[in-house]
Amino acid sequence: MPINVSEALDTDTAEIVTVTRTNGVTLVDGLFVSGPTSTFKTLASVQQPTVQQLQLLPEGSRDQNPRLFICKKPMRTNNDKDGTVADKIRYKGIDYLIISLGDWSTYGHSHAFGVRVE
Amino acid sequence: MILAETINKLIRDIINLVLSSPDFAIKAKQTLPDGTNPPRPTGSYAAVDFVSDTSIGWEQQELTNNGGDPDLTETIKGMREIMMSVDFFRSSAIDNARSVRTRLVRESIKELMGSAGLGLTRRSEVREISEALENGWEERAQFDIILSAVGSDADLVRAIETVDIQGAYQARGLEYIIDIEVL
Repeated sequence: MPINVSEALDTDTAEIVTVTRTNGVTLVDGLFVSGPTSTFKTLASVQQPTVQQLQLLPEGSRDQNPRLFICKKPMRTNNDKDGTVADKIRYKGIDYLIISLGDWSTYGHSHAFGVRVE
Repeated sequence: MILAETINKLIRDIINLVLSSPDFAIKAKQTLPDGTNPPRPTGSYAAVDFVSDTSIGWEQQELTNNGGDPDLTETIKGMREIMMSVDFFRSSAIDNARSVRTRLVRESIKELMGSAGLGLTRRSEVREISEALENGWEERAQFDIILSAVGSDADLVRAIETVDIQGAYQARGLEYIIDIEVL
């Protein structure tokens, strides 16, 4: 049984952020219509991406104030195979759209890269 | 008035009709109401984009009487050439593009376009634009549809009901005042 390292995420090491989740999109006459949205709070360690992590992001995203959110709850990004829509994380009054995910759910957390939404 | 969304929807409906596949075609370059990009549709799909609207020649202006009303109605009509781009993605993209391109000349489709005030002028050849992605090739194809339409506008030209002409004529120390009112 792997160690659940998410226990390291507590109020001493992480902050509470608000996640807005859009539950899918449907097509009506060839136009996308957003599904219902829900919001929830989660603990997240918010960090600046390292240089190596920045290089893994699309070039255009690197100057959009990216942040790494290490969260206790699984995050979502746009995925056409699953039909999921990217989550938005509100941190210090600014919305960040999740553009890249690392699945570490076996160890109890997720790595989510977000860029600032204008 | 040429309505980009109306024409885009007509082309989407035509693609869905000729491929017998509802919701196959979507509008290109969409964003969700919050400004974010939606995920791509699952499976094969087509995206329709309104590329350009070019006026051909000079607009024709007509003035018509309105019975007893002294005002005139001005009607402006001009030929427009509209270019639509249709992209096909994923499985059978090239076959789908070729099928749609050929089926656009069906009488039923031309009639449908005609009822919307559009004429099929020409089509480009189907271009294969398959793309190498991280997890392998994605089949893609594209062609352009050029349509002709009549763009129109109307305005009311107010009639000039009276004209007042005033002037003065001076000769040999005399001055004549002219005041003419035309009704």
